[in-house]
Amino acid sequence: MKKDNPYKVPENYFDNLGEQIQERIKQEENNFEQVEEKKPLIVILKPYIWMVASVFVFVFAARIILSVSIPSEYKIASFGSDEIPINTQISSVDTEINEVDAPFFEDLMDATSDDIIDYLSDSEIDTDILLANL
Amino acid sequence: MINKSDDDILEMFREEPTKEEAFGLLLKKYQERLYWQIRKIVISHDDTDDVLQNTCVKIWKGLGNFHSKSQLFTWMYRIATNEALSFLKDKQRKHFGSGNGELEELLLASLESDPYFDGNKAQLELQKAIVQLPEKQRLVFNMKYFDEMKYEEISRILQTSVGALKASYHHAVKKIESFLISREV
Repeated sequence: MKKDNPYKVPENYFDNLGEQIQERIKQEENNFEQVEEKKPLIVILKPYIWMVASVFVFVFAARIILSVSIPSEYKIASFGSDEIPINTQISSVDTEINEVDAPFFEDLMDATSDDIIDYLSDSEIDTDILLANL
Repeated sequence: MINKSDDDILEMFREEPTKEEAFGLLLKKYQERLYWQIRKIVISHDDTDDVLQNTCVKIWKGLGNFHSKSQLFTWMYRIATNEALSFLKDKQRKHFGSGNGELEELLLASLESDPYFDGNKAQLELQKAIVQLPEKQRLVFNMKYFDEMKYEEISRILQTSVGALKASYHHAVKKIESFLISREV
């Protein structure tokens, strides 16, 4: 069978084709520019609105995460709250520590566990003195 | 006859004042080959005209970024082939919706109703046989048999190995022979 091409083309089709295509390309480029010009303000501002909104979301999420993860004793008391300020609590503990008899503490550090048990088992212990020393 | 080489045309295209002239030269040089490549895929002249225009618009948009890793014509041929195949897929979807409608039915209908088909009965039967082939075999057969392209060139355009192309061509020929024998052509 011959390899003749059985398809034909309208007369002068290829002569005018280049111009038609270039015309179409110009049309598409014009349409694109018109679409770009007609964009409403909200469309232009959209990306910036999204940026601002995402910053807000990030800050809000960070506050929630931090408030959940930090233990309460490390939190700074909020201004005007009823909680006792931490610096007051610390100073009262310091006072108590200072009032304890130093020699008593030294003896306690040297004692073995058997000594402590024997001492506590002694029925002649004056519990008032014991509590006072604590 | 266009005397300028593809590299010269590309150089002209990259300069704003000569961009349109360069594209005009490119079209004059390759428009017919692109047309026939598309026509053999989509069959009807009117469809070919649509696809060719879409192809040329894509070439215009992409030519500025073309880097000569492949030959210019291979690149253009590939765009034309892909555009034609996409066109057929869309046409199939429009006609058959989400169903499994046969593309061959559409192409046969195009062939039989095409006012620009000028072949005799034998040529019509050959074209019907070609239309029945799977897409890849149809492409390879047309490029090898009618365009007499080398396997290496077809391989660059279709991005398929030479071995696979040879196998496709061999199967296509066998199927066409069976079809024509059954139709007693």
